Amino acid sequence: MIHQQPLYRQIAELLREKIEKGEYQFGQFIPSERELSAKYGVNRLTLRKAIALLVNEGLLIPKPGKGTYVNRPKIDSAFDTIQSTTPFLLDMGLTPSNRLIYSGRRKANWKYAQIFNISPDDDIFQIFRVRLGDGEPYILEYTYLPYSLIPDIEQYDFSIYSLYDIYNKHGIQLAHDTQTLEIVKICPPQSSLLNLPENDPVFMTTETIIDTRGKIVEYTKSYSSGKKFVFSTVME
Amino acid sequence: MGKLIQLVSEDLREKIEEYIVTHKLKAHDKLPSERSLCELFSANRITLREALKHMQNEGCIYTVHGKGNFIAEPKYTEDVRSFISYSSGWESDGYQTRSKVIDFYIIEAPKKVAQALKCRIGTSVYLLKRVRYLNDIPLFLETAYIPIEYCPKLDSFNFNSCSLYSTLEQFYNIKLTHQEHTISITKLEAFEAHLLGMQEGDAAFCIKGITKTSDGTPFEYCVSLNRADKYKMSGRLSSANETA
Repeated sequence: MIHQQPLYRQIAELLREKIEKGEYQFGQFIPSERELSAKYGVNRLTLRKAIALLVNEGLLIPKPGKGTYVNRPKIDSAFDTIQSTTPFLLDMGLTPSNRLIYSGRRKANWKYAQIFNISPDDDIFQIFRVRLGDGEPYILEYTYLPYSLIPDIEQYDFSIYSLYDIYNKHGIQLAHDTQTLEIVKICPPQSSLLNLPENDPVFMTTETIIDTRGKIVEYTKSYSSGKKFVFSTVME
Repeated sequence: MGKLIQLVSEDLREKIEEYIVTHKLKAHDKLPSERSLCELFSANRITLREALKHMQNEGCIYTVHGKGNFIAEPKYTEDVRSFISYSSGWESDGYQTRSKVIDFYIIEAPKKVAQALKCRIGTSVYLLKRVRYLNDIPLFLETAYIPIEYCPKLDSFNFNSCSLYSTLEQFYNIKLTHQEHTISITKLEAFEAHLLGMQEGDAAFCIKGITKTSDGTPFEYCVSLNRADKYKMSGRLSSANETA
């Protein structure tokens, strides 16, 4: 029995291999459709389908009128350790920065009273940020914490400070973290903040962080593009 | 700025979530009409629609045209902490599991598979493609690759009814203890979508896993496509000594 992959998949694999080997490098245009279809002896339609597959996966980026170029390799984020975003982007060789969308104090109301085990009338603090690497949006984060945790929280500039620094300063030690990972659709304004088309599927993670005293100190919901991220886990 | 943060619609969403919990609405129960929700929370239609759209996108509710909005079933949550076989893991959570074998034959390992299994390209490996059902809903499309030298005559077993891992343990004395995964987003091809009861182009998890025995030998390479509308992962993680 011969079980062969469809032709466009085989071509996509050939191109993928060239990208993985670094023959086609980040930022570089791959040869034109005409050249590639002549090279592999396939018609333009098959070739287009192969390229569309890799565009879909985020390996290639089409630039109308100019061709198709190679995207930056995806970031591999461990789903099994607590990571703070800044050092993590640094590790990937990206210059991290933050775009603060909003920060402010509000009442916990029902939802956050449940999450933090506080009264609905207690205050919480919310911080909405886009985390950038080399100026490009990577993660959109909505962070909530009980206001009483860090009473001077309003004085920090969250486009510069990381929450981890502030926790350290206040002697708050993080113990563990409950995370969920889902794939959801994104729409405006979240999609525009991440430079993604409307209805693109993205990773959505929610994190509940508990400190060494057993208190829930932070709840964060974040969105990241599947074209820029993969997650990894090890189970034993 | 106001347009970017949607504080009003987020606030409204929190109220709807509260309503759902305090009124004990269950999966497939109907939400009040848009008009009554607006009245109830003194909200305008545009804000309400924004809030409902977000809930829809994140799989909390679904819409039936002409009928209204309904509470969605909670997603099946898989714990990524501990290594357990598919069937025993879900069954201990109270779900009914079932598998349907789509393909089961021997192939020559293509490059990707050979790399993952650290064997030569062209090595004979079993390819076992199964649809996994939970409570009769097709959720996962799993393709496993195992070198035939590790478990000759594996194809004499019927994996519609047997668990792969317990077969390996019982009949081949192979105990798998360790699994590494990479998780990415993919769009389903027509045939994959068909097997999972989805539409072509729908988003799914693509989970590539290498399963190892206790001495670290890669034994199985598995590619699993999991429905994004029905499945999520969770984990409780300990703090890695944060040096930042």
